[in-house]
Amino acid sequence: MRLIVVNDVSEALGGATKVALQCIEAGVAAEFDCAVLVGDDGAGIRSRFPGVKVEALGERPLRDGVSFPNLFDRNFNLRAYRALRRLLETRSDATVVHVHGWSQILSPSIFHALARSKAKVIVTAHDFFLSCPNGAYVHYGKGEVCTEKPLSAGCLVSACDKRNHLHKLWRFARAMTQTAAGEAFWSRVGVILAHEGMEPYLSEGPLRNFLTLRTPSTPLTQSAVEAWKNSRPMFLGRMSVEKGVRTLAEALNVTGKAATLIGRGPLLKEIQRALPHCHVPGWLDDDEVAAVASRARYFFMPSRMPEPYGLVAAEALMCGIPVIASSNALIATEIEQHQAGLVFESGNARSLADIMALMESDALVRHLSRGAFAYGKNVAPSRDEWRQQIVDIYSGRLKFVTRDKLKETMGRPARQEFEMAGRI
Amino acid sequence: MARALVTGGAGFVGRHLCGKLISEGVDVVCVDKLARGTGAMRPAEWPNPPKGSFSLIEEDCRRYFDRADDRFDMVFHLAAMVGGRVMLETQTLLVAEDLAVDTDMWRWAARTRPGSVVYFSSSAAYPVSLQRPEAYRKLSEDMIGFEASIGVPDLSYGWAKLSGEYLMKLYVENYGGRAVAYRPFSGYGEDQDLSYPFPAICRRLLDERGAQEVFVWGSGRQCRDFIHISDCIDFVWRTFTRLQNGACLNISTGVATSFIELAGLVSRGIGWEPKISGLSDKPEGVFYRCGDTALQASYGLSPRVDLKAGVALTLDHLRSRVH
Repeated sequence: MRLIVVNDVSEALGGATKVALQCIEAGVAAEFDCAVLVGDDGAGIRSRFPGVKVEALGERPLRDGVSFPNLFDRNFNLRAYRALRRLLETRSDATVVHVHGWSQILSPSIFHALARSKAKVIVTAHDFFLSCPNGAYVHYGKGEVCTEKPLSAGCLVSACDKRNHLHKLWRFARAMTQTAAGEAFWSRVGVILAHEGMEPYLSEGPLRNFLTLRTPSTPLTQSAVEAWKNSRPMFLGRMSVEKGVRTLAEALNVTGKAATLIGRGPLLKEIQRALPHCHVPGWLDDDEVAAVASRARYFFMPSRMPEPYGLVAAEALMCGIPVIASSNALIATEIEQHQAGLVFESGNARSLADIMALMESDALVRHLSRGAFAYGKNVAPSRDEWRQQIVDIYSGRLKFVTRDKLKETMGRPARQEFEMAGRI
Repeated sequence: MARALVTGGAGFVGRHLCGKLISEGVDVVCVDKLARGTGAMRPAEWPNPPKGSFSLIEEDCRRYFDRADDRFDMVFHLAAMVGGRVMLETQTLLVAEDLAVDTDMWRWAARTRPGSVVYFSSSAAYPVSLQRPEAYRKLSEDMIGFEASIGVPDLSYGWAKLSGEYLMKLYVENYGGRAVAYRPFSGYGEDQDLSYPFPAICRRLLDERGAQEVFVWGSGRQCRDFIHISDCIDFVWRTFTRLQNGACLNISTGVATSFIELAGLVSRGIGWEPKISGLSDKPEGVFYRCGDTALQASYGLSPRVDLKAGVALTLDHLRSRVH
């Protein structure tokens, strides 16, 4: 069997690329004929998988800076289109193409190349770019979950973008290019969800085939954390608007609580200035993160967007650190039901501050810490389980379920119900 | 350390579940009265006797619920008067005792508020009208609901399990607890009690090896969805925290196999091919019971032990017991 993994970049700076690399690793271990298409120079993959054919465009992701030609080539990257066509031509039978990230370099052109091939196409939804032009289903200005139907007139006029409306219009056009790969194509694409709650957000368009495979996680610390004996809460994630760090900063200022906030991103400097009483070091390596986690009382997950999964939250739960989650996080309901943490109203610093006041109780934190540890036992598959499952998906042993069948069988709650769930 | 209570933990499914929990580092308390005829075994007799954090309380779980207020992170409720088809058909009022067992468990859960309750319902809760020769279909989770008219389940065991599911709904909606339920189809495994058809057919055919004709109960055309115990346990472990609160999930393969087909598979595994006929004076149960697997598939579940491999495992086990 032939496997082509497609991703914008080859160095794992975020969760999506980490998963893409794990897919290559699983494919190699299963002795598939593996190839990779990446938008950057491919160095990260060549060094790690010397036997794998790498088609690399040598281009820069949008997050590293935008140039005028990007207006066009990040809408339809002709070089990406041609590179994928070449790979598909040389791999004509029993080919599986697994797409991870495309919004930074590769662009929707890859889907047009795939639409012209008979290869089995799988896309892992690490975010919502499969349906939502801004990829997050959030109105950045209002800080609310967006309720517009993607690519509708309401979506077009909604100034939801984190930069400006012109940028939104460009993203809208890019989403149109993506949709133009055709309904016939999209209806045969298999979508792997990182969380069951993502499906209602993605099933309003032509996507029909879904399956949930949670990302494998490892605990932040090697041993269980007795969180109730600690005093300092922590945040670990990207310092950006959609991750809710402004709400967090406001709540930390209201309460005067000292916390550790780890991560980099566009808001790092702003958060450092806003929280002189907190430790905001930027990026830390794994050992330093583990040291902070072992002294953590609880973990913040203040996302404004419907956070698909929240890998680091799962990693915190696994070592018994309770999670204070935003009501917009898809995992919030589970956290609350398993008594593994508490939920605050997304974007409401007062609500978060109230929850933080509750977390001063050692008895409560002890109870939640125990719940977190128990829930963390199987919040995510082990690496071995995950590897077996992804190979089963490639080989067709694990099948995607059609949207209609799923709705008929389970009556999965509508998107709005997910949005309401877990709010305090 | 996470703590689990497993009621009926010495029974066939229970002991495999206990083994899984222990292997995952969970502290297990097993409550089982080791009733005769239910397939319960003392831990020392289990295929893999429990090691580590495990304790057995040999007691009727209703008495335990009455006296104990311990809080658990997870509760797996398997305790039930259960057995093969003969027991279900001839001991109907004894089986109905399960109603009382389940009622006590849900009341105890509402009092002690465990982290999560996992209720083992049964495919017997599905309406028998959907399992008849003239109009059968694969059984999907949505075929049981409490908002519209409801069909007639299979005997008192089916009624008890259906009622147990309804009590779960009340526990979730009125008491704010977290609970999910599973509807296992025909689970089987090497150490299953011989009152169940799968090991019984394997045992009988081993004993009758070389005969020109062998028999299975009923018409032999009745179909079941056989799923290996290791897949049952794997499915539960991988989903019980992920299912929506109050949800039910089948534990099935989606493959229907008639008893005659099963006997054919077993006899070929033994090494001969006799004529296989039904025994019409023996109970047959419903005609076709097979689970729809769409919802399981959406959680990435797919059985790893196919029926042929399961037959081979069971035959090996039974042969080793003879030797």
